[in-house]
Amino acid sequence: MIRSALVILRKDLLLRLRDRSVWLFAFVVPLALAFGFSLVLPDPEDFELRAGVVDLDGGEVALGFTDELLPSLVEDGFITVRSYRDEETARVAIEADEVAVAWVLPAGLTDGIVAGAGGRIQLLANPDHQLSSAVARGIAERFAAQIDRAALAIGTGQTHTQGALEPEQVERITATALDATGLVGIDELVAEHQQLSEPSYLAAGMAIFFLFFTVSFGVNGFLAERQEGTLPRLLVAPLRPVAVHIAKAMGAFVMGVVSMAVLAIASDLLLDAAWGPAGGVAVLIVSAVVAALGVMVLVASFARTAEQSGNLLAITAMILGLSGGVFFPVGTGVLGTLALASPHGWFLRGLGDLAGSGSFTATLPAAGVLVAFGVIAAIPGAIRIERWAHA
Amino acid sequence: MGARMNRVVAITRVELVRFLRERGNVFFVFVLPLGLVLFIGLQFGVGGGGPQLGVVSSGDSGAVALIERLDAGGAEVVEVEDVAELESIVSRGNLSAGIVIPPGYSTALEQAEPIDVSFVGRPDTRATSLRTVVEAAIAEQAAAPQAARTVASVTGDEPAALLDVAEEVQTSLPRLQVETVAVGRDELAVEFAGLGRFDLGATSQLFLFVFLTSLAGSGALIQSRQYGVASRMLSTPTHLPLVVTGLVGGRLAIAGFQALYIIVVTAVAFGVDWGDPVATGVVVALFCMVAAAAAMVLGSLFRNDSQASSAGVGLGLVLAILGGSMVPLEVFPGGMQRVAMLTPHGWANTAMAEVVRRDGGIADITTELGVLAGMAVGLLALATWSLRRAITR
Repeated sequence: MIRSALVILRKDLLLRLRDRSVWLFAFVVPLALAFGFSLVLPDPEDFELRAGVVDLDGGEVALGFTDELLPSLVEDGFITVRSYRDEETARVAIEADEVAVAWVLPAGLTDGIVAGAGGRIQLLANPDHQLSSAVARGIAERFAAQIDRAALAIGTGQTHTQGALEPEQVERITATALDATGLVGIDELVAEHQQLSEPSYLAAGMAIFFLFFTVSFGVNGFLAERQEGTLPRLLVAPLRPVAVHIAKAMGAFVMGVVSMAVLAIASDLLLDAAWGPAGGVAVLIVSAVVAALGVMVLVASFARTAEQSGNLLAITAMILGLSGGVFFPVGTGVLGTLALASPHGWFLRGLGDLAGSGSFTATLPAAGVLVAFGVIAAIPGAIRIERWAHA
Repeated sequence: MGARMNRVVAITRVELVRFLRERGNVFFVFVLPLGLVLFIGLQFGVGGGGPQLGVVSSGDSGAVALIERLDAGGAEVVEVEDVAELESIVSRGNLSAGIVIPPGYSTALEQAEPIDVSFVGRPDTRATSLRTVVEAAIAEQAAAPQAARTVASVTGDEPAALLDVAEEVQTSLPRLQVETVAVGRDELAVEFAGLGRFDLGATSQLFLFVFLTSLAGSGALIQSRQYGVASRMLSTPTHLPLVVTGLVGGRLAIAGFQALYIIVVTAVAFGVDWGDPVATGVVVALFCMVAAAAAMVLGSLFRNDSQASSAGVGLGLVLAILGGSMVPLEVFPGGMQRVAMLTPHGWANTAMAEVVRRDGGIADITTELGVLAGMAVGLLALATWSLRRAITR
């Protein structure tokens, strides 16, 4: 029986190889997607904030911003700064995209703060530059927080001593307040390499999205054979029907694994976005293909013709892809829970877990669920298909 | 002119009827968009509560107060059991960022003693914005203890003793505020923190989906050819361009219906903001035309419907990536921003940026609309030429 199954498998694979769409799906499109991403994804290292500053005050507080804080950030290579004469000039520069943002320090800023009357720094931002705006806002707010700390410390000191603070004490308080990083510090919890990077996430998402189309060929091919009448002839041959089914399934399986592997490798080489250690990735790929096969067999069993099944398969692939977080990551809450109903969601989750732990054992829960999806879906599907193959 | 329009409409009707007779296709037109409605609505609708921040806390009063401030600062706080779970949720991408408030937080604040809060964030814009919110909330809460400690170090008192004074001063002391203004809008300062207010996610997802499904359906034209319907249409005294227009009309009606459906339901049920309805309507309509015409071109180039479908899905995804529908245009390297303008998605996304971020109307997006219309016409011409070759061979 094994030999006959292998013969059919070989014939199937050869047939598939001759079908141009298979090449498209298994190699061309995944590579094109990986290449496309490699072109558009920015390198986070490359981020530089192009900023402008307008100093209408010139006092100590303003100088603290323009002459101490900004130069230190420029030195770090993190931002570039241009000075503008007034707000209008800065706005024009932003609209011309010369700079993405500009801080405006209004006249009277220092006096107001020294007098304990507070103040305002304005951030002019280009809404098309979301990241730059967020970063620039962070810089301004950190500075403002420092100034507020100093003002509060002095105010506290004066109130406590009923206005009897020595000038030297005032100076020391100011200096300490401005130097300190904050009573409550913020430290980093997880180093970056322990998370699945954005390029890897996107590439892996595309891979599993595509997998369902790739695998659907094997399944569709089965239906086409039924329509064309070659299937009944195969079934008449002296082999157990199960051998035919196994061979067909193996064909789709091989195709699925190959296409995912191609994309995984391309992702690593072209995007520098490895999905993780090879062992864990292999486990997830194999279990994902099992899931895809099972689900597609079930879906195809609801169709009468190859055309219908093509449609149903496309719809299923889209819905599962969407809910699984392929097109955009889903948060916690309702969407996050829905992702648990999708093999795509589990695949991406498995990769995330693998990245977090580094050992392939972290993939086992997700892999287990994927295989379960595949098996549980395949059984009723196979039974239904069996019924008409003999109908 | 009237007779010609009648023929075009008749052909469109036939295509639609044939299409909708298949149960699978009905599902495709009506049910599939529901999926996208749900995702767009939940992600981008009002009451989404801002980006989610995971918090692990011991539950002491200081932690609770910090959580309240974070909430007020614009983050949606999601309580997480422990550090391991937080790390795992963030690495899976379900949360952009999270913090761990250690036990003893309240005590540290009361004693004006230093303490650290741990932050974990993915390397993306949301995490950066969330970090700003976290820093602001913490700075606010730690201000009084910090001031007490600073003054105590100079006057020699006990920090805890100065805490009440510091808190009292804090309530009446005016701050140094940071006010953010979006340039390009005429009205007053608009507070936005990159927390999703000007997120173009909804529109870019819509374009991705409409184009993709339109191309995925390009197989329908092939079936129509296979069944000889198309050649029979040509045997009537109807010019090929009219036949093509009729066929495209069918695809356009489907794509347009799906898009409208998604926009209306997400706006009504989830409060998603699509900008000025007229401008958005025109952009979407023209984009659907481009998608329908592209599906025609594909359908006329391939003989085999599964080949057309696979090429369609592949092309649809690649164009979506290059056009800024998966990764936002603003982060593209310079050269790629120009390449994006070769795709319909690039122009549609740029038009929507003007409409949603800058409250633009039709007058502000005439260039984009013109290009999209041009693409639609060009593709229609290409489809006509290609179909003529294919049918009359």
